[in-house]
Amino acid sequence: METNDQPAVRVEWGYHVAPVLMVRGPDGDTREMVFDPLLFDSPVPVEEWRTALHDTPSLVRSAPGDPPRPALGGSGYWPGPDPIEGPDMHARETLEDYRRLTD
Amino acid sequence: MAEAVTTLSRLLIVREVRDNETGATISFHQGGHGCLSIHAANYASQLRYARRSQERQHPIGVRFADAHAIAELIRADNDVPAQVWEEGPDGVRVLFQGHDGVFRLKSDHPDSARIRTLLREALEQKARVWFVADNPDLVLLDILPATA
Repeated sequence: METNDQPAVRVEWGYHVAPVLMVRGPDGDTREMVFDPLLFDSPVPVEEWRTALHDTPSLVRSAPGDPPRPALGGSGYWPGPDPIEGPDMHARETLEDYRRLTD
Repeated sequence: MAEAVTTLSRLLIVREVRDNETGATISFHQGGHGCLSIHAANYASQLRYARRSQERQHPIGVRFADAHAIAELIRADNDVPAQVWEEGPDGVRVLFQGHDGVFRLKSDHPDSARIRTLLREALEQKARVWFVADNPDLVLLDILPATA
């Protein structure tokens, strides 16, 4: 997909996870909304989120705390067994690395 | 050989970190030590990597400027190889289960044979490896079995 700050650049990935919540709108109707700050500044309907990803990705739904694809092992942090230091620590330290690269 | 020493990163495990007036002296379980200058770019981050390696006994990427001067400490990552294949004269390409992107091992890497063997063994055994890579090019600099 295109990036907001570098329009000429495309980013590809094979696995992307975002939480979905049922949200009641001002009209009283409830809709499934995706919370994905990487792609949008506010919650969006599932189909809008999926369209933004291009290439019509497979959508896998899982209950909170369950991995999307249990056969791969791990918590669902990525498509394989969790990193040795644990998903939370790995995510935090990876982001620290990226932040340092952009400083 | 001198060029290899000055430019390559190796995965090492920190045994001890000693602060001093000019920075920190860091010794490694594999033997040897190096000095990280307090004037090094991102000194605080690099020192944090060293202390993590010592606490967790996990490897860290170490690039020496000379025999006892550390040019850079790089965070090591870990994952299980999902695909490994040869691609022309550029060397070996590697896909990991968890990480995005295609990593590559350049054919002129002086330790290429050992790393290729290790990657193929890890692939067969679905075993985890530690690795250190240049960003953003994803060029693999060193690999170790995660059980080491």
